[in-house]
Amino acid sequence: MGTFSVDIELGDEAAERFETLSALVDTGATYTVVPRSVLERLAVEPRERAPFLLADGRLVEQDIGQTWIRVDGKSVVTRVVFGEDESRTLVGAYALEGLLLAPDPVGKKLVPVEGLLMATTSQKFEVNYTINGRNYHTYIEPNRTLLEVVRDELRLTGAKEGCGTGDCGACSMIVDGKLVTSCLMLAPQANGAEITTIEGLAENGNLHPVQQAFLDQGAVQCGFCIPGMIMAGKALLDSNPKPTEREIRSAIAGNLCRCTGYTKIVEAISAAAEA
Amino acid sequence: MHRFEYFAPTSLDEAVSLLKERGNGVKLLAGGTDLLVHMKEAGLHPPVVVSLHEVPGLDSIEFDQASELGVGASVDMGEVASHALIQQRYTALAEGAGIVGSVQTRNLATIGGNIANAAPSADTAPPLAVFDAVAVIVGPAGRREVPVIDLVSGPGQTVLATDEIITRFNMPAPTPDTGSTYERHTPRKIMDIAAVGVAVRLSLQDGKIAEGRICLGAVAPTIIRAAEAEAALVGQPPSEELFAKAAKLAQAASSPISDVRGSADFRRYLVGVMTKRCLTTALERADA
Repeated sequence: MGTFSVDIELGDEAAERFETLSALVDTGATYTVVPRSVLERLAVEPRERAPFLLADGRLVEQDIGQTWIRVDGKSVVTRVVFGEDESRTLVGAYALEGLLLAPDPVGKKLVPVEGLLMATTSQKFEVNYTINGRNYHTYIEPNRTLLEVVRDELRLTGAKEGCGTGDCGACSMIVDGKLVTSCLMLAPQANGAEITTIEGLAENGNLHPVQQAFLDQGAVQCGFCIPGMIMAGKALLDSNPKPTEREIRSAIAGNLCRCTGYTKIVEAISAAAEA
Repeated sequence: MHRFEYFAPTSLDEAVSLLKERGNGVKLLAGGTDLLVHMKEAGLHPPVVVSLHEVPGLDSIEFDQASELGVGASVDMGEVASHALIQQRYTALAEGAGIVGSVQTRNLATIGGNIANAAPSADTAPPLAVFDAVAVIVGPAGRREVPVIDLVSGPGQTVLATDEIITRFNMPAPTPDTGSTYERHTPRKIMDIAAVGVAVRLSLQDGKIAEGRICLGAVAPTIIRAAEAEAALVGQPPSEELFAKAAKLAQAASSPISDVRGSADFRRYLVGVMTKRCLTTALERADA
């Protein structure tokens, strides 16, 4: 997403002193960041310190204060982060939400938007999953798929979303003993389930035989379909330890490889069966 | 997916009252392989989704030697396809369930959903029909039974009221010398939808055909029985000429459309070829 500049007015908590600044609207920023020297001129005091995760993965502690912010005649009290003196002022999503403004990255300006009251009407469900032998507990909205929750909430990103409609098999997981496309299961539907994902196949640092065979046979090209292929291969060998080539091809019929590397994939599953 | 209210009732009564209260717009969730795709890609945004996963008693297969086979509506395609008794005595049904989708989607998709979704190409519908399957339906007024062949009224349309749920399919036990099969033609081998589906059951007695069933999928707005072809078989000793005649009558019964999976003429031609082939296979199995 793009960035652009807008003029904002920043005021102290009592709204007695205001200063006009050129600020960067960055669609990726959550909080408003203001150089410490500006905040000191307005006599804004740090109220607390909080950890922030930076885009490069570093965790840093920053001072947080409270100011008025005024844009296009609208004003609201917002939290601001004390930034470095040489840094630019950034307007974050938190302040924009309060102002009912949203960035229009094409027109490079802020535009008025309607507020969302949806959060008050959304149902949240408590779900418990046992994934790869570990218990996970979270609250989810029912319109999310098992795949989305496992990837986005529980941060197990091995399973992939390719088509989202059960055709490509990249999201394959074993749920209560059955290989399924997790993009076609609602997250609450799997409550209480025992789930195995690609992350759970290796044991004590040793790869599962199907994983090892994929490496040995060079069955991986771009890699996107491989977690699903390996899950399908494992599910096959669990129920049929010595499959024929035809049975292997039929077992991975629901897994698409757009690099079209099927020959090596079939050879790898076959080699794992013989191992 | 858009937001919706989600319910997971724990009894059939609770499920039926939810459907009754919420009326139109409620969608029942069984396997989800059709519903979720429609919700993600086809602009279907139901305000309420009622899941059947916690409703007990819908996922069993029962066989009573004397009378009949009962398959719960929530039984998945994988289970139907791999069930030894179904493979042996209701072969066409195991074949139909075994060819739907992929391993993954067969483990999700249910037999009740395949029928309620009411696609003319549903792979378990012709097999259920040739075994004279009856759907057990539960609603606010109680329980009723509808033969599967009469359940679907058009593409995507059934005779089910919005507050009715299919709970089970019952099929009479086939007589000993019975053979059956389901075949479909698809542009690609797997992960496709039938251009033509044909299910056949032949029940023999004293070297003659005592009962014959031919049901066609994807060649009319609903699955259809080829009634004249079936009538031509009854009381006759099986022969190639007889099967050729029945295949012609089955062709005449079909009214296919032209679409991306094949032209009307091609489909009608296939009905003839496939019906004859299915009759031959069913006969071999009945004799075995």
